[in-house]
Amino acid sequence: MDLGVRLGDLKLKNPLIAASGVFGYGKEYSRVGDIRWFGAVSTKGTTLHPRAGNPPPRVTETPSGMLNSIGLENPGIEAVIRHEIPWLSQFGVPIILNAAGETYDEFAQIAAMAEEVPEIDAIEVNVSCPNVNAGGIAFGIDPRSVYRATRAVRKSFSRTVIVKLSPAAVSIKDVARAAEEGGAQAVSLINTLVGMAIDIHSKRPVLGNVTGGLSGPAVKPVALRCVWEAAQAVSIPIIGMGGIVSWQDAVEFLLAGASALALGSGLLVNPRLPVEILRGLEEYCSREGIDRIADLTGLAWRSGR
Amino acid sequence: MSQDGCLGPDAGEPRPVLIDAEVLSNEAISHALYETVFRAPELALKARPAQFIGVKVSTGRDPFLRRPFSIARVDRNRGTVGILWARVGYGTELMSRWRPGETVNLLGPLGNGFRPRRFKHLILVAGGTGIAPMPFVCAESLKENPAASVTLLYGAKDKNSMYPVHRLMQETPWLAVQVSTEDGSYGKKGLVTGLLEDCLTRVLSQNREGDCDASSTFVSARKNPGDAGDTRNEASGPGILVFACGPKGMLSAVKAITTSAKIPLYVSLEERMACGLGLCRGCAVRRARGFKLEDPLDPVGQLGTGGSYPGWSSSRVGDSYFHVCLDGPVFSAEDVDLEG
Ligand SMILES: Cc1cc2nc3c(=O)[nH]c(=O)nc-3n(C[C@H](O)[C@H](O)[C@H](O)COP(=O)(O)OP(=O)(O)OC[C@H]3O[C@@H](n4cnc5c(N)ncnc54)[C@H](O)[C@@H]3O)c2cc1C
Ligand SMILES: Cc1cc2nc3c(=O)[nH]c(=O)nc-3n(C[C@H](O)[C@H](O)[C@H](O)COP(=O)(O)O)c2cc1C
Ligand code: FES
Repeated sequence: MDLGVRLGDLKLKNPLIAASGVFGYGKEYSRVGDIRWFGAVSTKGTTLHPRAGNPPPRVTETPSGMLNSIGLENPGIEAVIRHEIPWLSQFGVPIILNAAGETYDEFAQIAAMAEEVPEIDAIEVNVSCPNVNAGGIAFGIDPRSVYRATRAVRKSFSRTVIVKLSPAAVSIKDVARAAEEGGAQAVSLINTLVGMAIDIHSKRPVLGNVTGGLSGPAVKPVALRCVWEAAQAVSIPIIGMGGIVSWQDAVEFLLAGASALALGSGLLVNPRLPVEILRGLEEYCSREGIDRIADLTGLAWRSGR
Repeated sequence: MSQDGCLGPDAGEPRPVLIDAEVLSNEAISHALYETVFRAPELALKARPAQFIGVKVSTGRDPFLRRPFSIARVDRNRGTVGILWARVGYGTELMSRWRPGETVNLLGPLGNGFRPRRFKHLILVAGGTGIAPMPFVCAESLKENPAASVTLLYGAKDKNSMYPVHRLMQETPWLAVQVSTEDGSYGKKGLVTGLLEDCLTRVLSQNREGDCDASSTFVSARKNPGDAGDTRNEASGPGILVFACGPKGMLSAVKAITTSAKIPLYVSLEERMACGLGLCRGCAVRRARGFKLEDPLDPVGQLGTGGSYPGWSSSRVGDSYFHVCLDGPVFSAEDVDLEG
């Protein structure tokens, strides 16, 4: 059974990626899980300068999911390169740096710094964070700014460039194509959807930031549709995510056109999720007579089945 | 082990475990409180007072996130762990229907915990469901100070919603317990802060008759959380230590009292959580203004974890928040902003 997948120049031993923002930079996760379970890991969204994040409360449960308004709390690219990447690289698992710039120039600067660190195998251009005032989702809904942000990173970074897209884009196909034209070798989707919750006792929004990003099983149908559309619009591989909490979910995303899969909120609830999903995927493939997991990608729409 | 952030995350601490635990009993013990006991031997061995567990209320997608609950009691011989909880919403409503024999997935122990080291008088202040960690804290309170005295001050709404305190007095006979209720239906009428003021007056006057002034010696040696229980304090002799758990408003009132009496206070905080593991950065709590971590690797004596504001945490760099699941839930009160 061949679980290996390719994202541009990047070879993953299995299709599971720890999604950005639910894994920090790996140290906390390593207390309860094994980083080697993953085919690759995506770091917390990292900015040029340190960010303290948004005022609490930052998370709350919603039907079959959750809202978060972390606000890209991170120590900044310099500290990440100095303190986090050396530790994380010891596991031999490809490292994807999730980069969040407020301007095209900031994207370029982060990329240039990452270029000097060979342990960073890929950059995931985050043009889809709903929890910051500048940059983030504002970039991700417009194909032109997706193109420019991708270009900015592509020019300064010679290894794999991934672009993380928002389901809020008017046309997923257009933003996915813009990323491809900008030089991306893969696209990730989806980032969270913007939502909110209100506390009926205090009569105020639950989240300190008022709105937050919705994730978890509640968003899975939206995510699946986005993967389905993007996969048919571009020729680069898709990293599918949004509500994957079981191997059955994982199979659905592969069939919709994803080549790799990221585990987000599901990992917050069950740190052993990758082990369970990999086991389920292997059993499914052997039942279905499939030797290479990559052969599942896009089966739901590919012609000639 | 270096200070460049490459220190392993455990720093000698036991790792949390993910286990399927059998519900041994689940019952309402007052109008406001339920008690659940799980068979969870691995957890029982690892747990420290004031740590918590992440409870997956039911299998499946809804409710989605784990719910955090303090570890209320531990029986290492029988391999059991208990939680004390209030029915406040969707998840706890479902928990009230658990039957003995059911299996529930638990993650823990989580958080730093509280293991007081050097003190002469330990005063525990609990308000409402803030009673939850106290049975475990009481049971282990004399581990390192067999000659100390321990007082529990407990404030509840009324008699019917109280934790049955006679149980505590049976289990921990050395414990002095004082209760207040808002309507006066049990103990003293009023708030638990009233009990605290009375108690401090009493203990301080006893101390003044003795050979030391605990209030000043204990505090003058403190600089940052790493110093709370370090050897300077040991040398400075006996002292009063307060540990409080309850609603934020109560903690803030307790802090006002202990600050003016110059007595060290530790508080157990709650914040909405998603993972309980430090993965999501969801459980932020604002640091007190002017807080400076002088040496991030300094061991924190009173918390008993050998590094409770861990130097390895990436949250350390240039931010203004702690994270309750990672740095707490127990904090030195002067380090955190309790007003927000
Ligand atoms: C470290 C820690 C230890 C805790 N220990 C205990 C305990 O020992 N006993 C106990 O009864 N409760 C404890 N709590 C609070 C408990 O986690 C919440 O009451 C519980 O999650 C509510 O779940 P629910 O689905 O019933 O409520 P929901 O329907 O989700 O919400 C109902 C109410 O519960 C409150 N709430 C929801 N989630 C949390 C949360 N994560 N933290 C605090 N409040 C929340 C909300 O303010 C809301 O008003 C603790 C919380 C933390 C963070
Ligand atoms: C707590 C939290 C923090 C997140 N932080 C980031 C981030 O920093 N950068 C990013 O690109 N996506 C971030 N995300 C989005 C996830 O990576 C993922 O795209 C999204 O949650 C959907 O997947 P899920 O339903 O499996 O969680 C975050 C999600 C959560 C729940
Ligand atoms: S709850 Fe996720 S970091 Fe504390």
